[in-house]
Amino acid sequence: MSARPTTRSLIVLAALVVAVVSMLAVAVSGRGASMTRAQQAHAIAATLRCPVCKDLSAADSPAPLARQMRAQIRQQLAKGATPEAIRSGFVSAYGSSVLMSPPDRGWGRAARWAPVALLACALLAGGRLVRRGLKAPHDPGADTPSGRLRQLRDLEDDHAAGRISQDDYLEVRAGLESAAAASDGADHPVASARSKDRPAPRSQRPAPRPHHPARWALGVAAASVAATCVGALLVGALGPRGPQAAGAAVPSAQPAGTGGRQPSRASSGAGAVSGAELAAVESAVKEVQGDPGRAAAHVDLARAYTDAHQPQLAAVEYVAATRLDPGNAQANTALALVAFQAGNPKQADALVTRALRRHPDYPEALYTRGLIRAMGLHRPRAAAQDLRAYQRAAPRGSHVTTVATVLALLASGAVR
Amino acid sequence: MSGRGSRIWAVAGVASAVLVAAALLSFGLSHRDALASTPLVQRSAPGFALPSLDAREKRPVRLADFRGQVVVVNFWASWCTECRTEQAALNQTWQRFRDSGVVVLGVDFEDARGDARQYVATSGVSYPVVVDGDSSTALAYGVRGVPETYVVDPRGRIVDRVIGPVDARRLSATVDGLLAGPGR
Repeated sequence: MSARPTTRSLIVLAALVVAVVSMLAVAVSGRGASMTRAQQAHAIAATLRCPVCKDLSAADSPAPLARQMRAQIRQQLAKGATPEAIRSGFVSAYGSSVLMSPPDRGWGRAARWAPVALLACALLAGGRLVRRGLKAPHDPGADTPSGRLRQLRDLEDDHAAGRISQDDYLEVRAGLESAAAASDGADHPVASARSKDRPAPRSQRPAPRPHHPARWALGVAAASVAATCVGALLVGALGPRGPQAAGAAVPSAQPAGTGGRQPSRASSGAGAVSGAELAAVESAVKEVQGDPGRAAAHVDLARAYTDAHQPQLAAVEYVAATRLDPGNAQANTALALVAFQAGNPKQADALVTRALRRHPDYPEALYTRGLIRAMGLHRPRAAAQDLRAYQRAAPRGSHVTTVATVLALLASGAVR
Repeated sequence: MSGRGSRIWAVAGVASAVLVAAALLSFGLSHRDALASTPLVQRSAPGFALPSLDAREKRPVRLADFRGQVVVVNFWASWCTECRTEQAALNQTWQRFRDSGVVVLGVDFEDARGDARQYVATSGVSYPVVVDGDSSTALAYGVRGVPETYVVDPRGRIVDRVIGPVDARRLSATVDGLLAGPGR
């Protein structure tokens, strides 16, 4: 019974070995061939993932960025760069996910070897199943009393000839006995044979239930589906939120009830305030309410008030910020401007100088002090020094034109 | 071991295998988002010298020109609808921080110049915009699509990367943090 399947197994095994060896031979021979530069570039591109595509290599993708990657690879090869250096250049920008094959370390190693391990497990499990199936082949007449008796005789023959182990013998025999007892009662020939052959009572060894491969397969399939669903749910629950989700945290353009500090359109009296500006004020108010001891929150609220044409409320918030953080550059600069506009250049200069003590290259403070010193304190040299420092610190700042004009006026002596 | 015991072990084994498979599956699927991570954060921003979109500007714009300043490098294209979504946030950031020495720099990616100029003219963009004609800068920054935004600190290191439209609050918080940092 077991000799024929063993030969078949050997044939299957031999076929598998031949297939694997052929595959390896083809792979190795392909590697060894010498390549032109274009082929080399193509080969490198084939190992890199097109960053803007889904599962396409840079060699296969028609995307412009992949085309550019290919061009860059060719250029670098022409400059003498090695394939490894070229690949590592892309990895340094994109990370190892740009490689078509994961690197052989960390999770990459796990990803590389997991399929092999799974395959090995599946082969082992399959082999075991096949072995069991061969030992207890399905026989259409096996369910009849005579069929069972025949199986029992075969089993005894195999056991006597040493073709099966003692454990397997006991297991198969217990299954036959159990099936016989269930269908025919204790006076069945198998049960009778047991009493003759086996001195020990079978009841001490509970007979395993007959295997139902279809039921097992169904169970595994159901479990797999459940696992997939659980995995998908986990992805949804644990995965990072997209920009849209992040944006959902931003207050809507139409603010709900205010905290009592938000200016109304009627009280602003300074032109239309947009919904976005109101929303910004609402959001900043909430920030301050959430952490009233944080100077930056008061500065944010002051900015929001300024944008919403509420300079007085803005000044109150800037003062609050300087109480919490006396050297706060933004708040001191803003208050300096208020003082200057109110006709108090000395106080303004003191405030903005305090800001610059904290941040010597804060462009807004340099600009503000430059104006105060030029127009209010009539100190043209000191003013020019600040305004030039502003040009250096913020060459693309919003005051560059004004600063250039004031510097020209100072140079011409028009402003003294 | 009894038959019942071995069956329990078998069921436990299958259940464990299924759980492991589920965990691997969820990790694998969620790891697709990890593709968005970049090794460049906390490293030096790749330098570039790119022509300005404004034809009147003859001198190429170099990242090195902004050393000592916070630079918000935004990769965009006129054909990109999400770039329109984030435009207000970028304009707002530029207006708010330009006098704090912050530069917002648009990098036009895989685009027709005429379309890009028209977009700039009609969307309130007042910050400098450069053209990455051969996408070499995009490749150096590991760009996977537009919009993508990188925040570069005064020392020239990338400190943040945003994939997709930027959120004005997040961007402001990042820039504020850099302006309030010890280097300022």
